[in-house]
Amino acid sequence: MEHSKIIIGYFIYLPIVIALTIFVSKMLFKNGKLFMIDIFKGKEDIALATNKLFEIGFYLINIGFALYTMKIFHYGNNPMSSQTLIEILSKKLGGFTIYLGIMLFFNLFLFFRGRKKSRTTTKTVYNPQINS
Amino acid sequence: MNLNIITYCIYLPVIIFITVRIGWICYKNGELFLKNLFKDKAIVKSINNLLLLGYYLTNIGYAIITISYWETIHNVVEVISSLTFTLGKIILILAALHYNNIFLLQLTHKHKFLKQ
Repeated sequence: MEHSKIIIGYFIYLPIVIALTIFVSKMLFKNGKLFMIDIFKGKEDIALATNKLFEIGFYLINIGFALYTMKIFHYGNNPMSSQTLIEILSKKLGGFTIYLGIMLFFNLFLFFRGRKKSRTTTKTVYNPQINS
Repeated sequence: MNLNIITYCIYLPVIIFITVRIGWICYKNGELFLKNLFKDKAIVKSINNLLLLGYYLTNIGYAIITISYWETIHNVVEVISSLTFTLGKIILILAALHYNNIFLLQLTHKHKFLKQ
């Protein structure tokens, strides 16, 4: 019975982390669709396909990271107190939430860069045609 | 039920309420500035949503992570003093971020204005 607190910790950690990842990626790629359509200059089928692929990649990276850092280390013979459990869980969940926020900002940065890049290439491609 | 757990139970709702409230106010009032920066109306809305989400994730994540570094609490006086110290620290960080944001907005606003 000495590991029961650790198992409780896992059962609290996993649903929160997976639900948070799904919610954030749903939000991100619902709002990112507009950027993708902008980047691919209105070709909607390619834009939506790329969006879906990015979404799958986001799930893979984040749920993989969450599972990788799940293990709770506890040394010593006496069973874990609930205060220690709360502190360990807060460290893991808070760290994961900050990581997710940084990933979100990184993706947003990628969207901005893609939009900027597609705009500059449009200008250089279309200018000779206008001149000729 | 020891005093540390009671402190966490007071701390978490307060800090989450403060973070959500400030984020919501900035979300409402920042939209005008973003509209100034970008022409497209739909994209302004999605950028604003994503910025709000990122703000929530990083700040609530930091608020949760401070629990794991909390000192051991022996009596009620220490409950109050550690609570006020940590809350004050996080609110000061929020204030610093907020002023930084205002400064950046003013800078980009001026830049845009000069360009036109």
